[in-house]
Amino acid sequence: MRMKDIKHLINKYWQGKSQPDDDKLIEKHFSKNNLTMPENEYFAYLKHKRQEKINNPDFENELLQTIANTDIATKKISIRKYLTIAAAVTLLISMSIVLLNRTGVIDKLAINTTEQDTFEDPQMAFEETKKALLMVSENLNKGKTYSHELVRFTESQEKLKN
Amino acid sequence: MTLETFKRDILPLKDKLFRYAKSIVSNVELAEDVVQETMLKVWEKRELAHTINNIEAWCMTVARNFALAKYRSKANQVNELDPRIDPIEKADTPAEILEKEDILNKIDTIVLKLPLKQKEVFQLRDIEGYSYQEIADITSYQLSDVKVSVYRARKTLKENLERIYAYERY
Repeated sequence: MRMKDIKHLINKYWQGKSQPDDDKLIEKHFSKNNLTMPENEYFAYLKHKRQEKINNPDFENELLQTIANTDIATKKISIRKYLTIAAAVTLLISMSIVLLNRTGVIDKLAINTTEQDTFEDPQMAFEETKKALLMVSENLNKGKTYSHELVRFTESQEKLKN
Repeated sequence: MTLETFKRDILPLKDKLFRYAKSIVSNVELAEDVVQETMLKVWEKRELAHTINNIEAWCMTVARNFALAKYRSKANQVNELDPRIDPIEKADTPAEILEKEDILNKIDTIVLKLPLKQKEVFQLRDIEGYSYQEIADITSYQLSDVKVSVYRARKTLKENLERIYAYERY
């Protein structure tokens, strides 16, 4: 590269107007030619700084070990968190049951369920059975068959009553 | 990002991150801490990696944030010269070796005394070779600020170099 072109590039460089490719050309020129110019030491300095590295040879191994330890700790924290949540939910449910039991809510619910049963009242049971059979008869359109059964059932009941 | 991808793509950036961090904190041990913290943070956020266009720029930005936090901590605002300059080449005579060390140390001192923004931009442009746009992306400086900072840093260096060079000649 001609000296004139190099000087032009150097001027551009110091004005901050050069492109990265121009910078590389200038550096290459100075590294090949031992010129007595301030830029010679300057570009040697840049080249030297680019070679700086982390001094610790175990840096990567130590980092990977830290990552492995961090991952294990994170998993333990997750399991502990879920167990804590599960314990809290269980406690909440248990307390709710105890509280509801004390206030008689559960008993009331049980009574309501019992009241719906008709087995203690035969007449009511008979009426309900008739209704059910008629409903089935209508829905399945097998009225005749069921109505015969119903008549027989009614007659049997009447005989039992008498 | 798997561990294998991390080893392949992120670990090799450690020296570049180290140099950049050191340009901000001016301390070797702190710079190494920054690199470790950066890599752990990148690993922690690995699920975001597939959404990032430029992983290297992202790592540099993370390192910058950690380095700036340390820089701003008053206890760590210590200007430290790099004792590890190693300019020795086999063909150099002892006198030449001393002379080189001297000049490189002097340039290092000039760079160390640059304002933080100029130091950062000088590091990213003149040592790491990033374009102005890449520097703007890493640092969040305006593109015009980046260009001005490069110009000012180089101007300072040139003036001081000429002074050193003129002095050395006589």
